[in-house]
Amino acid sequence: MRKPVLLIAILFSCVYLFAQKITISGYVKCADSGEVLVGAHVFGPQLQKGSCTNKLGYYYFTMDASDSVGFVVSYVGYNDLEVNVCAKADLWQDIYLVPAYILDEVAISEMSGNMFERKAEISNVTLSGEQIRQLPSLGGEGDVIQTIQTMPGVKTNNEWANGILVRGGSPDHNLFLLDDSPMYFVNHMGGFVSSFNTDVVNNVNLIKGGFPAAYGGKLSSIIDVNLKNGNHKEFNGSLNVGLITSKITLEGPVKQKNAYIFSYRRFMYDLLMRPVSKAMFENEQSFGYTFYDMNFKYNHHINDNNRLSVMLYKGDDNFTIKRLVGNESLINHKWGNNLASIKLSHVFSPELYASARLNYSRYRSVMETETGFTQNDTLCTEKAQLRTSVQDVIAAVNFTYHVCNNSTIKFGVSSTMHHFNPAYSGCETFIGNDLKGDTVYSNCLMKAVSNSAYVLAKSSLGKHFSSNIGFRMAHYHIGNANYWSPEPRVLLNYQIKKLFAIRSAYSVMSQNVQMLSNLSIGFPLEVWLPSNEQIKPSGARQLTIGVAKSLAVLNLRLTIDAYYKQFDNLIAYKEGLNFTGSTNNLYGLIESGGHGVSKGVECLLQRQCGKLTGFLAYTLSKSTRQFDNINQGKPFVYTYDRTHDFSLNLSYQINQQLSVATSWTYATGQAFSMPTESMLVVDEDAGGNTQSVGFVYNDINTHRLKAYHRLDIGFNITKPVSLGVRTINVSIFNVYNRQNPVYYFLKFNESNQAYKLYQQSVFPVMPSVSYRLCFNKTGLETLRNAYVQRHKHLKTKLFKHCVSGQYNRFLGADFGYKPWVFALRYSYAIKPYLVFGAEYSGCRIKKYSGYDLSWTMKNDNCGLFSRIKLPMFVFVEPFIETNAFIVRECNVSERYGVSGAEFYFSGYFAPGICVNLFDKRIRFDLFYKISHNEIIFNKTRVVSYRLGFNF
Amino acid sequence: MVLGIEVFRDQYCMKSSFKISRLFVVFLLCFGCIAEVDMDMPEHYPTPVVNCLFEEGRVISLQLSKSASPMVGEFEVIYNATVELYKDDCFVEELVCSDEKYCSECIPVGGSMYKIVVKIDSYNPLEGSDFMPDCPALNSFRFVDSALIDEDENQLSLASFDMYDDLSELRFYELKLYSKFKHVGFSGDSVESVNNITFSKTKNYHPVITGSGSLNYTDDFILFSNEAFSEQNQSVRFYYYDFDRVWNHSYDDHELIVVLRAVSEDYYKYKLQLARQKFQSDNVFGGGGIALDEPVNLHSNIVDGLGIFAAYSQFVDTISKYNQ
Repeated sequence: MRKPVLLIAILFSCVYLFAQKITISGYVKCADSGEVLVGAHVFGPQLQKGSCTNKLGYYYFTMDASDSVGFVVSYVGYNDLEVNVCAKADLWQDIYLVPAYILDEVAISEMSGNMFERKAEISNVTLSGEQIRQLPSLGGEGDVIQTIQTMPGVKTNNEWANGILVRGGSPDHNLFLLDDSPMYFVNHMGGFVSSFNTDVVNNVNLIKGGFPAAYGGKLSSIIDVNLKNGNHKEFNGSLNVGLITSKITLEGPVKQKNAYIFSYRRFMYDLLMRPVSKAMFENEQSFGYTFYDMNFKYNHHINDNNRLSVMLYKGDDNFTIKRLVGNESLINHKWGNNLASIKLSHVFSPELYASARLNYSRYRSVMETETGFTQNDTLCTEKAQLRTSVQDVIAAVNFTYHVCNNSTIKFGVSSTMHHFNPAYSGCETFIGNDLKGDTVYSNCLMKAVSNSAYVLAKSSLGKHFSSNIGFRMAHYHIGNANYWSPEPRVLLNYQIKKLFAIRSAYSVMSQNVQMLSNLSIGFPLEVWLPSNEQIKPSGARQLTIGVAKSLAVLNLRLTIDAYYKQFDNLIAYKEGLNFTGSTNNLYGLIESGGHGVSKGVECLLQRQCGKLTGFLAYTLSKSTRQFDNINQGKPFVYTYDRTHDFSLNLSYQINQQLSVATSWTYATGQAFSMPTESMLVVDEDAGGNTQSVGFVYNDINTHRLKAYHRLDIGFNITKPVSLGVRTINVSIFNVYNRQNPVYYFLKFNESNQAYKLYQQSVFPVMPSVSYRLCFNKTGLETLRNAYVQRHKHLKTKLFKHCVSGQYNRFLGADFGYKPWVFALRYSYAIKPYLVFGAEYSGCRIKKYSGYDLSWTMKNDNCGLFSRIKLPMFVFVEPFIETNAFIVRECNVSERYGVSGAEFYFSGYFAPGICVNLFDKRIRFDLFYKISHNEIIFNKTRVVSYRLGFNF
Repeated sequence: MVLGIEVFRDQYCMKSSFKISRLFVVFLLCFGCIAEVDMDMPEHYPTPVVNCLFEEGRVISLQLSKSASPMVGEFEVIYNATVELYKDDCFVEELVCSDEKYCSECIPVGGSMYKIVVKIDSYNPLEGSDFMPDCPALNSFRFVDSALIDEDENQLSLASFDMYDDLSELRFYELKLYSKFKHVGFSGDSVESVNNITFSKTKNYHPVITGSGSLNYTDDFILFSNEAFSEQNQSVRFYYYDFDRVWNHSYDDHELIVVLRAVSEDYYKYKLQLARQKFQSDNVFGGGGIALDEPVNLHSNIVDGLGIFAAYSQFVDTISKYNQ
């Protein structure tokens, strides 16, 4: 009984009673956009008391009613604001901070430095969206996951892999939250790009140790990504075109106090990849890969005490292979997340703040194949599907009670309903259009419920001591199994000097849902599997001790943390097994009850303001795993263990237009298993020879790949333009072309009859460029005015003559043919809306054959056309065109000469658009021909273009 | 879209603007992303290796060799060992070495436990044992030649069989098929060929066929266990390709040789792991070699040594296309 009593005593030790106290509360916001600032410091130097804004930017401060008190509000990247208050009653005061001019060298103020040391936080890093955008990365734009990977204690599998590994944890041990909604799959393109669009990210908080009791469900880290609320002041947006992605973001106020933000991002190259692959494979097959994601958030200001926000996210990767000859077939693999959340926050009183939310999160990976085949001369189709999915519905309520300036109590409950289908596979057979067979081979539908309740107290005892002590109770129910996980969380902070503190934390975490991943290489066939009666939830216990020191003169902040972490009930594939995609017995593939130990020291030196910003991170660590039936029960080095991990990220603002950012990372090579010996093995299936060579591995992960290191550089060239601001980002990934190994392999060398070891590396030096245009309402209005003026000017300008033409390879040809199409036309505008002209066009289709060597089909058309257009649009003119012509067709063979010549009349009707460029001198016509006769390759409808010159 | 706005800005706002006239994006794609790696290997001490898969009704034939360093492609065969054979823990005979193999005179029978003890100079005695399963009960086997034409216009044949297992204990099986057909040889004479058939990796969904996962690694045979059976008389359906016969334009009557083996658990594990290790040799991440991303150890039941000593009994039947 003594322990609970002691705990309650600590929890409420912060409760002081003051007479005649008043409170000042409100939101801290950006003066330019009205965006709330999360984690801004509010500090009273006279009172030596302070607080931080919460995730919604809400702050709270108490003082004596008679005092005239000044307090300082500070936030990275913003000028400090001194507020003097003399109030006799509670006061609601929103505070607006002005973004700092970046070239000002401002030393860490004693107040903000002091807050850094006073904060009861450890192993916690917060990055703003702007900081992330500045850093160089593959594709030209900073990326959330790639930035987090450079933090101490965070590792990545390898260059071509997704996920992050924190303090010896597995990729699935990280809780990714997008505005409090859990996200299961956080990458696109197998790890090139994260699912988080930096345009809409307000800030990212990474917690690796000293977890507050409000968080739970994963063992190793919390990556809490908070989205922007949208610009409350004026409409603005941005367009971004990069080598990997293009995106558009729009945000603005709705009826003054409400705001929205919307962003859409897409990988564009599939638009090119599909026709190019079709041409490359001579119309035999086409393939395309794309991804997109879409964010939307709406904030509704009901009144000062009530706010409502709605967030939607949808993101998918899609890979399609389409076979176009013979019996058509299709392989379509689609994977991604859908998230939705609705959140209501309510201020009951300045002291009591509450939020309630309802979240929905779904991850699914679906591989569909559609195969055509012929049976008894009937075309049949077989549609097979392999699917893995997880869906969560979460309801949560959180309360924050400010006891006094330095003491806060938080408590809340949450409940999650999980729906799992880790391995569905089924097949439907159609004969013609009739469904003849419908078979489900595996379907493992499972439901589970996770509940949790927590209470935590953040308090300061005296001037030097602060704490964050909490307790979380998690409950998990599946089938007949119930698991209870008590999770105490203790974080103590002792400020020895004003700018120096020591910290310590102890956390217990549990995880009910674990991921099985097929390979270390980032395939999206990740199966989320819940714990059940046989497999207990995983657990982790972590002890962290650290120091924090601000070096005010140099604007530096240093943190050094040492940690020791133990894992229990880990799972892995049984030795030599992996997921086959179709099984009803997934749990039969799993080795459970694994243990792990991870320990290390992390060092982070940060500079967050001034011309030169950045951080230096170093980690010394060791991580092991142990399973009863893997590696003969002996502990082995975890695959992703890296003894040394170093990264240096620097950003330098040369002047207002130009900034440069660089990043250098170094890490010990990944562990791998090397065979210890080879031997002859009996192998009946070795092509008549009943022996082949086999390999023996004594221990797992005994060797290391070569060390990983890489230098990236990025330049941001910014310039104000009439629309707003444009930024060109030029990045070079892997500047010195280091060939970092992704894996090693053995290959038999015929010349010396022995095996040799080779390495495979993926990314060489890769330059990239992205273009970003941020526009605002004023810029758009300026552009509109200019457009209107120009429109008036051009409307009076009419060119009567035009010469245009076309020449290109036809992309829709049948296999084995090489067709080229051409056209040349002259037109005369009788009226602004009516054009007549003459055209000579045709095609040359080459076909190669072994017997006849080659032959060419010639098609020549000569005729007249008329066009009616809508001249009210100056830059883009819709039109309808009719064309009548005489056709001459013949075959020209190397062996037989000209044969089969014939003449006939034909014509087409074509709606289209004409784009006028360069003062109407150049024009581009795009139209869709519709004819009653074959135009080319049995097609009666084709898309065509003309590029022309007006005079 | 962005370029469009740039054009508007430049033309209509009449400002001397910055134009992105030249953006040189050079992708130095390295074609030589594969490089040789030097690695110091510790000194290797050879271990004796036993290789023996023995069948009911046929003499036991066993090979002894020594393991080598993983970088070496040559292996030493052991000729001077003493190999003792035990049946149900009773000594039966000493195997005689002939033509690199140690052969028995004893004929193994189903339902017995066989053990070997191998004595080699300067090594501890090696031991290996396995239980000979009873012959499998194949009730029926049917096939439809060229039942489907797949998307690549290859002919897919459909086969189905019924087999009996009382499901009283966990049993393991292996299925192999051979096609026997006549075709015109190079000299113009009629030649008879027997070739392996290929199980379709993409068209087979039956849980018995896919249960072990062997089809992910090889299409030469299928390993399965009665764990996936839904009833004692289990029907199984699968698709296969008979490439050699089709390529030889032999469309007339031909025969299918069905080999259904009841195999021991050691045999099952060994073949599955061997298929997986061989699969790594061909997989795309192996660069044409053996990828070292995930170790696949071969199953061994030899005490103080390496290799396999595993038993199987098989049922063989030949089925004609027109006379099933």
